[in-house]
Amino acid sequence: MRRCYLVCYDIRNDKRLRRVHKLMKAYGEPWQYSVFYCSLRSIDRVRLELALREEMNQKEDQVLIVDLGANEESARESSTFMGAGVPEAESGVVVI
Amino acid sequence: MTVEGVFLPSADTEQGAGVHRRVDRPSEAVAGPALRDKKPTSKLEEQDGDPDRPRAVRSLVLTSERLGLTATLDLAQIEGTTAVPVEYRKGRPRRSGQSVEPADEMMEEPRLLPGPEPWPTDRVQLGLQVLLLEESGYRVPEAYLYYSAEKLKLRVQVDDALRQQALAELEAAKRTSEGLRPPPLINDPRCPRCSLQPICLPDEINHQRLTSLTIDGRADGHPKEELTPRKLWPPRDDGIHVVLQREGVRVGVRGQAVRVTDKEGSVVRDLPLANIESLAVLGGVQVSTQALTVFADHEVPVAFMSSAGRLVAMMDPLGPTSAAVRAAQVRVLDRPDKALELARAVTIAKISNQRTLLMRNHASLPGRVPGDLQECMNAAERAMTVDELRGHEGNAAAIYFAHFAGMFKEGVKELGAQFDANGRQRRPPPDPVNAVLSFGYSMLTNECTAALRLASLEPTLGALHCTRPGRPALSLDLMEPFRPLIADSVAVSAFNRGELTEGHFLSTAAGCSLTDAGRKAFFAAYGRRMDTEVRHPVFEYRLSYRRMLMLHARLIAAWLLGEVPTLAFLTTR
Repeated sequence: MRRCYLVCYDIRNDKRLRRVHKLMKAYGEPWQYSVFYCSLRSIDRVRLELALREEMNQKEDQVLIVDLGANEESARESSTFMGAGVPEAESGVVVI
Repeated sequence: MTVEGVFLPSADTEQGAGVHRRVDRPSEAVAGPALRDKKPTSKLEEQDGDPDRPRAVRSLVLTSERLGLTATLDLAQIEGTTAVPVEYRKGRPRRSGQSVEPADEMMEEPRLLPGPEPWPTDRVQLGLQVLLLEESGYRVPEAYLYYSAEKLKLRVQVDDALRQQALAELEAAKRTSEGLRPPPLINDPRCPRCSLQPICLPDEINHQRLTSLTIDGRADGHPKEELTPRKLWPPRDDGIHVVLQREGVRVGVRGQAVRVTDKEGSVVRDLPLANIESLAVLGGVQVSTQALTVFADHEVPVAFMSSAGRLVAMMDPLGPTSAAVRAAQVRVLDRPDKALELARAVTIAKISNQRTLLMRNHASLPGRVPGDLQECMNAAERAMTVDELRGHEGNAAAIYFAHFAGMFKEGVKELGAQFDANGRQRRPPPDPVNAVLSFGYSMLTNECTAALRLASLEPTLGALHCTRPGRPALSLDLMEPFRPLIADSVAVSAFNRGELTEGHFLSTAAGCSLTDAGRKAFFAAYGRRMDTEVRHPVFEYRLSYRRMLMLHARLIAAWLLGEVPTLAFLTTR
């Protein structure tokens, strides 16, 4: 069972920012600079939180995780994009 | 399970590992006071010259030959010859009047009732730690449990009751580990959140133990109402199954994001690793060693196939496979009667599913066909040897494929006629329908092999199919009931809907094969089918076909271990 999350972060140091960004790319799709959309199993959510805790500085940085519910369709539909670049959805089988 | 070394991570175990991360950093070795004179003093002690300064020692490993016990203490505060162990737990303490642990942060906060007390298992663990410390010469005046979810430190009284309880549990545990694997618990509140639940399948196995099943999944005896399996299985794993088939594509990793690039080196796709459920590589595709390592770390199975879909190799993580299951498999399948039982169960389920598919989709099925297939099923039921069974299975297949083309709609009659003229042929497939069937069966074999490996079974030792080098006999056995349900059904619907057309195939002297675009179209239809949810006729919950395969592989393992008396395979109506 996966749930969908929006993960946003404010990191105040370039080195940590790059590392957090690299980490986030393993867990979800980048929707904006420092905003990621993730669809995670409960185990991966725990792993993500632990990994973020390792990378960020608890005093200066901040991470926000918004739970968008278990329904992927409604989670995507409830976000409205204006302007450029709507990321495409991926599910099921991806054939390349 | 721990005795066999089987372990599955879950959200709870990962959380626990996170809580322990700090406390588990081993600190400098200390020797017990009994050994103090023999060991060189550590640097710390030389600096302050006071060996009795209180010090917190993390990850202290103690072993006792007498008790036959080794433990890693999370933290021990050592002051001279007294030691106080502190055990870290990720959850919450027990509140009087509660029987099960409340859910974690993801659920609503439980009401905090008065009087936190340690869980009995935690008490026993601490008791054993006390015994070990005392054995190595320390005096243990008190002990603590630290519950991380509430940041609460509980003091545990060290007395004889604690020591007795710990010793009694230790003896009981040793007795348990000597025998065979005990049967799963019945309706236990601890099962739903246990990480080993998909291996143990407590409800499903108890359900099968208590009702011996007829072949078509009807229960003979009425199971007690409370034994209908709770739906413990996650209903869907909406991950993505990645299939790479374009010539010259490369797969690498950037950190832990999977990057797919084409011949020119431009990025085709970036995929988050957490979303990937499995990876299939067809033909000339490059996968970097780093990527393979990362897939192995995250337990993503990778299947390497020829461009025609034949499974060449499979990489699955060297996870802890249970040797007990494999030993049971060799022992049980060596007995002709047991091998026949498994072969019979898969054959009858397959013929039943073939009959259902024909009756559902054939526009003008001759009236005697369902009866003939029913006859084959009855004959298979009575078969005395596996050879005889193969005969009945062959008869049923002949009848089934003779009428197979009748399932194609008006627009694709021509393809159907080609198939009719050729019949079912494999090497090489002469026409598009045969090509799609062969390709579908290959994919299904791969899925079955992966499912068996996950259930710690050896794919090459089967019952209905003879064991030959490089032939995944048990995968073919497991796949039989699913051939009509998945591969045949995909072939019929893909042609009928016009997803696959003449243009998707290449006919050469070496037979008919799918083009790139054809494979893409096939995988779209196949993926949809695999994600279709069906209701299990016995357990009554809905699972996707992909998880059905896994469930059946586990049930075969349970049957081999003698946990389940009869086998029943999925049949649809």
